[in-house]
Amino acid sequence: MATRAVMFTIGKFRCFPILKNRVAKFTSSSNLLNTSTFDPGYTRDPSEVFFKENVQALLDRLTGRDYEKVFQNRKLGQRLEPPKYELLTQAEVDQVMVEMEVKLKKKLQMPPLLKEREPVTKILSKDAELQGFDNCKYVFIDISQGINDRKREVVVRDPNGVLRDASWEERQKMCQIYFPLPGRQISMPKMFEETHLQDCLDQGQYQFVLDRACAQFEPDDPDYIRVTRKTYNCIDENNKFSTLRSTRHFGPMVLHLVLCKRMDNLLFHFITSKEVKAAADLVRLFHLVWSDSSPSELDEFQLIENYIQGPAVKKPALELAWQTFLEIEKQRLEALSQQNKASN
Amino acid sequence: MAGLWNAAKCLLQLSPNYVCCLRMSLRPIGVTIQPITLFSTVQSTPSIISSKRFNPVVSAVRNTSFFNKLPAESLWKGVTSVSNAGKKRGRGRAVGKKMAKNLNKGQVVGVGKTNMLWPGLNSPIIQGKELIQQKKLPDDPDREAKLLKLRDEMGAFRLLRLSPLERGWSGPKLPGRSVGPPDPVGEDNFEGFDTIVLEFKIVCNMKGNLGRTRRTSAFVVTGNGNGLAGFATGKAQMGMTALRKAKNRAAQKLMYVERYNEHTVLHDFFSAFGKTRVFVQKKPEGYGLVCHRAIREICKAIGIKDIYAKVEGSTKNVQHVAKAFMVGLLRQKTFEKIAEETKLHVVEFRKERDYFPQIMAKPSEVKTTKAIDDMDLNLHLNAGKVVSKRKKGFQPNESDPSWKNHISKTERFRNRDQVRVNLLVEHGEVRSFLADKYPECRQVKFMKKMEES
Repeated sequence: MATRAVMFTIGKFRCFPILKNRVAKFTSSSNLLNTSTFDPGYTRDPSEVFFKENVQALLDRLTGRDYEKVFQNRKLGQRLEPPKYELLTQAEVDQVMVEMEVKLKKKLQMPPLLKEREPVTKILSKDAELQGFDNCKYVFIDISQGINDRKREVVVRDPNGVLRDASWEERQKMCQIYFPLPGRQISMPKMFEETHLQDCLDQGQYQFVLDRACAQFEPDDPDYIRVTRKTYNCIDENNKFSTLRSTRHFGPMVLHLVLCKRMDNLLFHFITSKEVKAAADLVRLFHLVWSDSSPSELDEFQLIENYIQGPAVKKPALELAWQTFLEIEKQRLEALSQQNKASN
Repeated sequence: MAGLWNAAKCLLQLSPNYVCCLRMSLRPIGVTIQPITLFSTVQSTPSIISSKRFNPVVSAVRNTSFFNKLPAESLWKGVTSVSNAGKKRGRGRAVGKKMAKNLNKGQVVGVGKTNMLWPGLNSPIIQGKELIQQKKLPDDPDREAKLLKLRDEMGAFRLLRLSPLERGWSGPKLPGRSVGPPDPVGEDNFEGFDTIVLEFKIVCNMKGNLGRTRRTSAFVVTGNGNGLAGFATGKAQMGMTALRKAKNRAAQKLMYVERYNEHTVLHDFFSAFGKTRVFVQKKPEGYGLVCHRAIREICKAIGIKDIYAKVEGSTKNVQHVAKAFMVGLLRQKTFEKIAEETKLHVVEFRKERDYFPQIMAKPSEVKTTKAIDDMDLNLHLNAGKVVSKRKKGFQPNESDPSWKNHISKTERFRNRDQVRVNLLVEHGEVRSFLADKYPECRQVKFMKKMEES
């Protein structure tokens, strides 16, 4: 019996980069920028920013590559097997590590941030003479192999005689029945309802919620956006950034926080854990997103200071943390120089 | 009254002319008949005999017999009756043999049928300042009944009932049971040690002068569940003594066994002792001790929690099984040793970690080319030998008619468990899609009737 966790964690994700080409289609179809009804954190279309190369590079750097965490035992409820042993030369070990790199890239592939999808309105024909043929609608799906589920033809004949393209919900349900994806239920699981979702987040099950949302929904599904935004905000409120570090969800979370202008907690977290590079990257990302230009300062310390003095929201806390960090740095450098002198 | 019968006989002899035979019944008709001596000159006429009916009674009333004369020991001996030679051979010691009952049990000197107070015997003579007198105490009506009940229970052989936690491999017998930690030696208290009996048997030795001498042999294993364990055998006349000897000897012969993550062996191995062969496989957490019962006890003593061991050849010879297993455990190679021997990295791959490599041991210098034996770790450990695995039994392919038949029958409930779970998730109960339309067709949960208080 496959358990909930196994169904969506083992690399069965569809290739999101394909959507990159579709992004143009989405934006060109309507000029209205979608506003999320659940949490109006920002009105911009995040996909404009998400797919930029420099943004992707920064998000990659911020996510980190802790091999131990990425390849940890996720306890998926599968039957354990005894470990296998091999005698390897150094060359073979290196070869295996290269293969692991490939696996790691796949595991850390970020689910995209998109705006909510437009409802389907296309009507194929109106046949009034067919009215009342039955008391329920008929749904037709093309079950040929090898067609992408978004392109697959799914049409609905309503009892009033109208033949239309299936709505997104109808489409997903039909595709899941005939071409099921592992980890995806036909109807939305109760876990994603408000109360139950809040329970999960209160327990701290952030990675589980996000993984399951990835498996269950499409990235432009309003439910997916609602669930992910709620989770990101919850993590931000509770300062639990380390739970998502070295996972595929860290990048989208950071971008979401930057877009909401709520990145100060994260910056605080980086400064207090003495990750200067990460803090600097975060500030660079902020500039990229909001002014679409990379800042001129090359010195990381200067960069961070300028941000704290300038656009930061939680100035007092950040200033205090930054000053403390500088003090500690100074002391560390002094101690090092004294050591060097002593050894010389 | 025997004399009367003889008298009658004499009468017959005295008067041989009588044609009619005398009927002599043996029952009295309520007439007291006087004894007639053998050589009496009384000439009793036939008329006397026929008018009074004499019925001689042979009833022996003796006021003394062997019952009173012999001591209890010889009386019991007569009943149980095993000769001296028979006792030496161990005859009459089976279950259900007649056991001599000690009839003095339940009785005290000074207390008898009449419940009396005898000062000096069952009470002090002076109590305080008063002299106690002989006094009749009230009768205990149940005394006889109690004694009889006691005597009835004495002979019956009761099966010793043990709790499941104390039980060994088979009922109240010793093999499989724990006999506590070994006796302390000097400063060592053997804390955390527990001994289990593996074998408890009676062995004999035949000699010319002594004949057959019986001894009990005990084979035990002792261990602290943390890598230290030892086994030994002890022999003595008495069972408890043999156990004690074995236990203490095992404590003297402790061995340290390497384990992997404190729950299983380091790697698969094979070992043999005599005709007993043991194939051991390393297993993951939660697998359990799937092995011969003797090996299970040894693993518990060492602290191994997950293992698969197949014993081939002589499985009943517990001593050989234990020795084969221990020899194999002690011959295990640590990863460092393997790395040094082969001059290669020992790398572990786990399925639950998506086969991410974990280097367990690095050699001091690594070689660049591999020999044929280095291709597989088990090949290297078994010196080129491979365990021959048994083929699984019936493996149906899709076109087998028997398989098709089976599939067609089981398809109905193939997914039943998952369907139940899904229904409970969606609706909170197991119900059909018609339950909306027909609310009466719902599964009624069985509720125990609450007892009226």
